[in-house]
Amino acid sequence: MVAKSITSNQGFKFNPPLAVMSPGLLADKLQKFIKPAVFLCCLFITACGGGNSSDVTPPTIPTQVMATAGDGLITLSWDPVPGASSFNLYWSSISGVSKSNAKKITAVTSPLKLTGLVNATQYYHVVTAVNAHGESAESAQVSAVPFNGNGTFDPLFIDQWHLHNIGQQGATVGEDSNILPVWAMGFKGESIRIAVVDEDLEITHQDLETNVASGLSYNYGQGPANDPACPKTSINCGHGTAVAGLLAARDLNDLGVRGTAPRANIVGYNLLQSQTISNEADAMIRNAVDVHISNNSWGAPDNADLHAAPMIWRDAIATGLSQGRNGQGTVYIWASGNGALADDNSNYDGYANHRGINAICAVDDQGLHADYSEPGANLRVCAASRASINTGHGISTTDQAGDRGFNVNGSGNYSDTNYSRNFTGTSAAAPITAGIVALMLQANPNLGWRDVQLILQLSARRNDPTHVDWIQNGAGHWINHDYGFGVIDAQAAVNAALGWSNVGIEIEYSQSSSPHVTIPDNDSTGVSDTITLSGTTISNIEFIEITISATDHSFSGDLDITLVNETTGSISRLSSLHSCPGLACTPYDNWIFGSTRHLGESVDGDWTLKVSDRAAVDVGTFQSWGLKFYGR
Amino acid sequence: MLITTPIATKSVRIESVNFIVGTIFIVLMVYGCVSQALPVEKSISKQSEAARVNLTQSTVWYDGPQQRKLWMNHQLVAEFGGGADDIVIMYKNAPGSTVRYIRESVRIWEMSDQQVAGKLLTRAKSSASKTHSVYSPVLHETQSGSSRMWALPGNIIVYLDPVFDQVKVNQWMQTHGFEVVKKLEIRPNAFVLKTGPGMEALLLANQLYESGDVVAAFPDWWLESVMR
Repeated sequence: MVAKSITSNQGFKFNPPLAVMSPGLLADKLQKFIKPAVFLCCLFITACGGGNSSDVTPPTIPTQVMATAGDGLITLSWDPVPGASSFNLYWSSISGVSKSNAKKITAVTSPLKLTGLVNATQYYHVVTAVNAHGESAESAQVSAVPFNGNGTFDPLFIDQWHLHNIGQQGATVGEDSNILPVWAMGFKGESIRIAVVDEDLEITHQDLETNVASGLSYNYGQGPANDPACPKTSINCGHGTAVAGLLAARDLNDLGVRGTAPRANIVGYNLLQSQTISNEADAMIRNAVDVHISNNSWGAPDNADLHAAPMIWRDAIATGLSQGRNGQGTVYIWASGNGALADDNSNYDGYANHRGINAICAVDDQGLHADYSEPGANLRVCAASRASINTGHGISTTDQAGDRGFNVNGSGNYSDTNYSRNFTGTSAAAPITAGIVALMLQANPNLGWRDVQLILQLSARRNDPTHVDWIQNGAGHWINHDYGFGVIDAQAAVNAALGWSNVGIEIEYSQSSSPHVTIPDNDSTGVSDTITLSGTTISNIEFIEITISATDHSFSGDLDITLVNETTGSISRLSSLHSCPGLACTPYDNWIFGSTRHLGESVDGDWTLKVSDRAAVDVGTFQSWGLKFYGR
Repeated sequence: MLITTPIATKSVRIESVNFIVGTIFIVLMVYGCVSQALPVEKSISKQSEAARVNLTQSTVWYDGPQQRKLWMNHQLVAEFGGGADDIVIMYKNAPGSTVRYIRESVRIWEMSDQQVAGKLLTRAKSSASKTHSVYSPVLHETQSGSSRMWALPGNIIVYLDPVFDQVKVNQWMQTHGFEVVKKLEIRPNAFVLKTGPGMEALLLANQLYESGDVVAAFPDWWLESVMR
């Protein structure tokens, strides 16, 4: 039995016998008991001059609305609203609840327990506040799935704000991946296989094993060939198991958490246990015909130096793009890098800035830039993660079973050490995205790898709209060096996938120049060189590779390098003044930058590369540069 | 009036203080917004190039047609394939050494001095070595010992002419005395070939590439990586 009270600012108190009851019965009871009480209450307040006589507007929208599920029931709660005399609840089993399309229960108060619900069914709710002058707009929608303890619930789902942000721990409601509507459409990743390329995958984990493809994982270390779990002697291991939970932890099984693709099929390749370049290549294409998505939450050290990807890796990616997924191309998802606080840039990483890769940045539970998430002209989209590496609202996911992994004893974490609530980094943002790509590929299995990239970019949500770096490029797309095209939106991405017609054959066009000019030292004006292009057949750019050489410059971190499309004015900031590890930098020697930022622009026109040296001591020459456009 | 005057005065004073505090607050807010909005001017404190690097010996390798430079770190030794017993052997052979980096397949050891590292790499080649491990020098991408680490666990990768048929591939392997460890499905006629660890693999790959006999040849490098 749950009682509620309605208190006016005159001290009038009314305690109706609100029992635990079904929504329908509850509504009837409320009609009988609450309406007269509310009427009397309002009459009393008005007669006594209570309230603000000049306030003739309805109350503000209820906030902090939360839904918690139990066996056949959901408990809803929300914060008080000043001046509200009562609240209305609207509910439905279909997402998108509003006053006009849902069932209504009047005069409810927080907390409210709804009973008689069907287990394993997702219920959606909004709350409105009411006073004598009317009813507020609807609150943010919340949902929950009642469960009966027999395989219909994920008890830690309520903490997974990256899936469903209802304001947990002060998070901003709605700053999530907007995935519930996609699951409600029936897309959960069935028939899609994702490779977790990492240091491990605990294939026997209770919340993963149902989704692990039997016998298809690969162990690059010692021990059984198909078991990529952490070595028993290993202390700091378990990253891949945490990544896998964000991808494909099984849903509705009474255990732990959910992945973004909770019914997808996963395999683990523990490359990092034995990271030779031949193993790197192997991990990119192993069983590629059947691997739809390759998730890579690893990379070269995030230390602001240039790290070229070796030829063998680039050849492997080319193979995966052309032959993977029966010729439609494996979709490669890559953590963009955690070195922003060391002035690292995702574009200094020859893996993350490759055109066949989707580099994924991180935002926090407010939808704001995670302080470690590297900027870059190569970024596609962002997804959720922790605000800082070791602080902020962490990500809940699977953890190595027992006393291993990130949660060894429950201290500052879940008492169930098979899970952790503190996962962090762009390592988390990548698998959240990879799982959503699985839903896209389930919705439209014909998408090519370029189609996936385009959909991710075109369907992203422009988060943090006052961020100073947002601009519209020449084709009208919003772009940002910290956020790429914005935060991934699962519903928008899947809807776009459903209606998508694959783009045609990719066209390439290259041009280069060799200015050989001295770069003035410590001079922000610098030098520039322009390539003029006309008569090309690419009117719709998808990606640009920018190659530069300044091999005689002994400290490449001094250089600001920016590409400008003179026709549209849009820019790609490729490098900016930064230090290097141990104050020694790898020189620009045919270094290849990547840019996604000119999406939809035309190749024809003037393209300028500006190079300036922003610090004293080291000098060098802007020797040569080139552009390679990909598009249609 | 007498009563109200001090109150009025105090009220005015408080309002003035509030005004000043408010003004300062607004100025700080505006400054904060502006400083956020404008690009931050950065500076890098650098010494001369000679003073800030600690590695002096370089070598090159061929990443296909692209020649790349690496710098030798004589203070570090990479150990591949070692078990727990090999740690004891290492401590015996190189007293004072410490583990700088560890994964299942590799341990990077920091030696107490360069001579110990040199002796260790030499001794590992001899048949008298009791360890199961193989050892490699450690190389870096720049002249700084804090830049990314590379090492040579053994084996090289070659790209032969893509038009070679199986007969020609076999002939090439026989002529050069190579054992194929693995065929790579990333392009026609790409193979991992068996070699010893360390500089032997690098020199062999460079010789092959410089001979013009192959499309590409490079060691099967081990690379330092991080989880993100």
